[in-house]
Amino acid sequence: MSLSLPVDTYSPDQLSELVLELQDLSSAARDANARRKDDTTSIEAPTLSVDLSQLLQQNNISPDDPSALETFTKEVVTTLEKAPTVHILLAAMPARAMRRQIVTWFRTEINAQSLVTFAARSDLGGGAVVQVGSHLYDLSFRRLIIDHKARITEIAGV
Amino acid sequence: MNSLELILVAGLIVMALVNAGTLFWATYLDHKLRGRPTPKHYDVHVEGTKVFNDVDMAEVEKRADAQLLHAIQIASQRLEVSVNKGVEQLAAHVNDVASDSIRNEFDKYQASLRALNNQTVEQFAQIQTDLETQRTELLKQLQAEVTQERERRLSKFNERINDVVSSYLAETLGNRVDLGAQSAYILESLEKHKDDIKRDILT
Repeated sequence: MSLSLPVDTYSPDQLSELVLELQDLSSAARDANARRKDDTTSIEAPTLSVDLSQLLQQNNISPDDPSALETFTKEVVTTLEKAPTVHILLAAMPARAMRRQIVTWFRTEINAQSLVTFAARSDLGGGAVVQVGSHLYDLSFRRLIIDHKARITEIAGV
Repeated sequence: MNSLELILVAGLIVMALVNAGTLFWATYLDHKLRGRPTPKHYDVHVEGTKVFNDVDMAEVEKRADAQLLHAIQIASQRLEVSVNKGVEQLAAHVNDVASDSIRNEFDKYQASLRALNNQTVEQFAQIQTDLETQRTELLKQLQAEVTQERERRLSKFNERINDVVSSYLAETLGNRVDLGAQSAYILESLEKHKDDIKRDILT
């Protein structure tokens, strides 16, 4: 599996959308090729999303090559099915820079095709709760506070 | 009335009997002396054959009275000595008998006290053992109950503290959480669990 995912493409939902977009693009490219043989008029290229452009560019796939697109789409579908997915719960929805930091860390340290989902829960206070498969890593501030009950009064300012 | 008192009363009775016997003996001797047959006086009027004249007779009677008095005194002294000696011997005997009786009774008393003491010590040892066993059992039971109660309260406290902390964090921080400031902590925490996460992903 040699697919390289852009850092801004991190979630299974994004990848599913890209698959749909790739399928459309592939079919459009096939149609365009067929029409080009019969008609000499120029055909307008389909508009690509930023994520798809990045994905194609990062994997050196031409948006005009229907066979390459089909192969690539299959590859993306396989990745979507087999890539490890990590769910991260934070105290608030992370900004783009932070998402990129976390996704980069997972793709560098854990698996190059890791997919990550982000969700927010305000009662965590901070830190993160990471779910990998059936395991849950509670790295939240709430867990730290509960594990150090004797120091709760310091937080409350009593 | 215990044995010692019985012995003392018996001793007093014996003493009284001895005294009574002594008095009886003295009275008997006195009667014996008084009951001695007195020489019969025969008035012999032989005017011409008088051996002693009146003066000599008076002198003889006087001497006889003196000798009789002296004999009575000696007998009395001897009797007194004899009685005193008898009383002393009797007293000593009574003392010996009383001492022996008291000693025997005391020995019995000591033996029974010793037996009682041993029995009491054994009973106390048994009671102490029972108490110790009971105390140990109670202590175990109490510890188990305390542990159970502690676990129950801790569990309840944890349930409540989770809610309290969650509510507190949600109310105080709300949406004003600065995740940017936490990124270093989050990445550091992920780094700490990197191996575990890798293992989970592989499995």
